[in-house]
Amino acid sequence: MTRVVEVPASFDDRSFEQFAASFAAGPITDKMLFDARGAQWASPYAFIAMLAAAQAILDAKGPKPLFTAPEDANVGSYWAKAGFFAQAADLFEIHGKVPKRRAEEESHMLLPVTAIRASEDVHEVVDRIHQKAAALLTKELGLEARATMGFATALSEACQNVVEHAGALGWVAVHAYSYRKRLGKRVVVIAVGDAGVGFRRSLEATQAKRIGDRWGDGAALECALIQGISRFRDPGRGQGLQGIKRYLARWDGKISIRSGGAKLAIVPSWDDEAPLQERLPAFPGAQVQITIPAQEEAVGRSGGQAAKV
Amino acid sequence: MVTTIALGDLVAEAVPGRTVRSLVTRPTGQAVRLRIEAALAGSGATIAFLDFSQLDLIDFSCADEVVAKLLIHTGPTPERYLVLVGLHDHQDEEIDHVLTRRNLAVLAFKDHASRPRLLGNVRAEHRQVFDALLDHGGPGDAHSLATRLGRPIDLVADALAALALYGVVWATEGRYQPLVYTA
Repeated sequence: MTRVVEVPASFDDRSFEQFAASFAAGPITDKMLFDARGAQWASPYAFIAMLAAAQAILDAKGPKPLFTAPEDANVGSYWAKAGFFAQAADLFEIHGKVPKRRAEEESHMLLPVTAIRASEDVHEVVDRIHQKAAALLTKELGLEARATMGFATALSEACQNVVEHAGALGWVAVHAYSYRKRLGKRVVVIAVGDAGVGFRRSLEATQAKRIGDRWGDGAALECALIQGISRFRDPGRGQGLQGIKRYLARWDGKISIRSGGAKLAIVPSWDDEAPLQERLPAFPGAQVQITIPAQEEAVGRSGGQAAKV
Repeated sequence: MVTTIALGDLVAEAVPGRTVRSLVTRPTGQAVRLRIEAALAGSGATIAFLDFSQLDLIDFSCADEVVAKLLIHTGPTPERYLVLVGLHDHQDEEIDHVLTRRNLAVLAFKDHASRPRLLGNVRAEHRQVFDALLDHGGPGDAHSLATRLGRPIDLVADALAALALYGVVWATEGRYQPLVYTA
């Protein structure tokens, strides 16, 4: 019997929990069908979450999951441009119409979904995005020129977490879109995720005993994001996430990390998400989202692009 | 004797076949640092200028892997001083952050004409003494700087000794002099 995993119609980091609950409703080795026929929009976080779920199934020696593509041609086209289908082809048995992606169609996207396997991939990602990000961050989001360097640094560090800690294949994507529902502004969003060991297992050997009874996914995320603790004993380690936090504090940005059954966020004033959520549905690996909003002076002169959510 | 090491060239060697202006990832940082250490071992130079001018970007991991570990492994010592040159403002931040965490410091110049900046874990009162030494315009001692600053001489002497330990000033027979970026 095939178990259906519902893909939310509007799929972002919030509706992800609905997807995660559906995914976790049975054994990971079940035959699964990811039903995206009714999908209308997906954030970079969503694309990467679906890939991570499929990768986790394959890692667990489960049967290759089925995937039904969005029925709306425009949605399917957008997902193709976002690089989702190119990455999904090896992980899913895809059914339905899958538009072809032409190379020039990537141009309005900061970074389509891109696999991260090794540090060479991080170089590739940083080099590809550097020039594009500079134009977008300064002209459309109103950030100072120096913010573009911090952006590339944040991207580099987030990707390196996959290479150094996940022990598995990961993905990164960077999109810009109008975030009207919660913010009324354009934002640029970096999503990085993997189906690896997650923060709890990565830090367990060095931190579980110190934390004691509270040890779990939430405590592991606090160690990494709040305290800057790494699994390495070298005091120079663990600086990447701290650097990202400093950068986001300057530009009123947000970072959230979901791993295992917990999610921890540094929440700016424009958002109302709970900083720490525990006892969430278990999900493989780790999912990081970094959101940088347009600064006040840029609001009003930015053009619309992609979906408005 | 001084030597200048162009980091852009070392990054090109470490990441062959591509034009890279970013110093990112720990493996790349480690490869670049090992090349710097090899160059220093063969140079016999007292002052090594690490030239960042060909690079657009350095991330925290590379700042730690290259600059912090280089300071830990090879200097500073009275026989060797490390100075960062050609640094953009935004590169300062990443390096300052990692050096502060490791309780290290280094002197940095944007170019030949610029005033040097202290990066890393330098206390505010020590920075004040360093600035006074720069304004002094030549070698200075604790007495002259204490007078200039209106501060107790023992505090100024402690600050100068700390700056010398960090390798950001020369110390010779009780007199101190900031390192300069020479061609």
